[in-house]
Amino acid sequence: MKTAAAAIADNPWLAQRARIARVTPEVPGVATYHLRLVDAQRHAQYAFQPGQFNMLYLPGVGEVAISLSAGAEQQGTWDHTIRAAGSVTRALAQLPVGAELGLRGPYGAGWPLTECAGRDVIVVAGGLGLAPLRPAIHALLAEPKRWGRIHLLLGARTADSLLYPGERSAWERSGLAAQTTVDRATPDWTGNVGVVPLLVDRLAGFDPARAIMFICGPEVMMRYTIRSALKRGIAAERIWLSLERNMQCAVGLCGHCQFGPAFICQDGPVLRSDRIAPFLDVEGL
Amino acid sequence: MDRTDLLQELAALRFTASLPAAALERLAAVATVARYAAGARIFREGSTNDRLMIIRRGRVALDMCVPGRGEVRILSLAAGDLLAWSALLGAGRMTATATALEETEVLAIPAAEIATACRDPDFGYAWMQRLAAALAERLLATRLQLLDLFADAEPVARD
Repeated sequence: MKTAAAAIADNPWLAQRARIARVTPEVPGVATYHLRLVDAQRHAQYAFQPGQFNMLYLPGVGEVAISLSAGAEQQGTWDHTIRAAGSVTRALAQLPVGAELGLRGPYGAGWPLTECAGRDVIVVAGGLGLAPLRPAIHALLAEPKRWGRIHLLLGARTADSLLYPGERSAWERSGLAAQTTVDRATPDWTGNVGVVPLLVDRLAGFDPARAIMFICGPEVMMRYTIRSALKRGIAAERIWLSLERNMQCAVGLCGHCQFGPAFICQDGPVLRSDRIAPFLDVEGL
Repeated sequence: MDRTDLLQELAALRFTASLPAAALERLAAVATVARYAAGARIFREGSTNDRLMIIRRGRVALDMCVPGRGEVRILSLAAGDLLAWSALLGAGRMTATATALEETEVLAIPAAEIATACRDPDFGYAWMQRLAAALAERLLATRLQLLDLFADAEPVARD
């Protein structure tokens, strides 16, 4: 007779039970949900690649694709940083600690960390786009001698919507060079003002010939960040971005997330810029 | 800083790096270094300024005065960025207030010297091409800022 765990492994449609162990409010409207799989063995065996996502399921409400924002090596839980925006995420935001939800995953292709070896790594994030990049930053900072310099260029609408402020300070103490910018400055803000691609235009302390870039944020921001990166001499095949589309099955069957030749749920969400750049300018895609 | 050092600086700065050597020579002949302490006003909105500047080191904030809201910060600039282009194109009347956010050094070039040099078609074409490119970048950045992309951005959760 099959165990429940084996059945889940065999059937990508079956969700496993996860419990909200903790909720960390991040910025207005955004919180990190620290999830623990109810089956302790499954919890211990779960593994993901930075950049991959899970489908989180609320019975009677629906399912939503959410990238993991931290692995269990950080706080013992599988973390998802979520903005309450749609029907599922708004319902999720109402759940108390201890509530259960369904989880299936991880799915998709993550950030190509092995390609970072010996290279300067430039991580570019806009708004909540830092969440799917956070596990990659954790992995990079865990083995700093494998890479060159690590830069983080982070933009947000306002200073109080810059994610993970305390953790970013710790990253900087670990050797990450961080720059932040905001679109709207409050009188007390003395940092940069302006859009994220400007930080790429001005970035110093990296070798374009051996640099690799990871980008996640609003699609228009990513498009112009790619343009700035190309102008700085970073090769298109070393620029990677995480895309978001309407992911429903998460296993490449339903076609809802098709983007040109790629299924975002399976070929992405992390894709190489030269493979999808022509489709980023296509209206309606 | 002597002329050779200025020439090297101009050849390395993002705004001027792509200019031909002869154009850099002309700029180096008239450029001077100006230093500003953190918090110092470089120029005020509405004032007249006759020098165009390229930031060499540090960061500069641009603010515009809005009645009822006070000074609103619209942009910050850093090394390699052009500052005070209205000295050349706007009859010298500054459209924003510039403040050094940290200890800042700029290469200051008299606008009148550039205007004179621009009568030489080779210099004028190279300079205006570079200036137009810099202003186009600034315009694009302003458009992206106007789009307010993070206002409703949900890059990891849409349902």
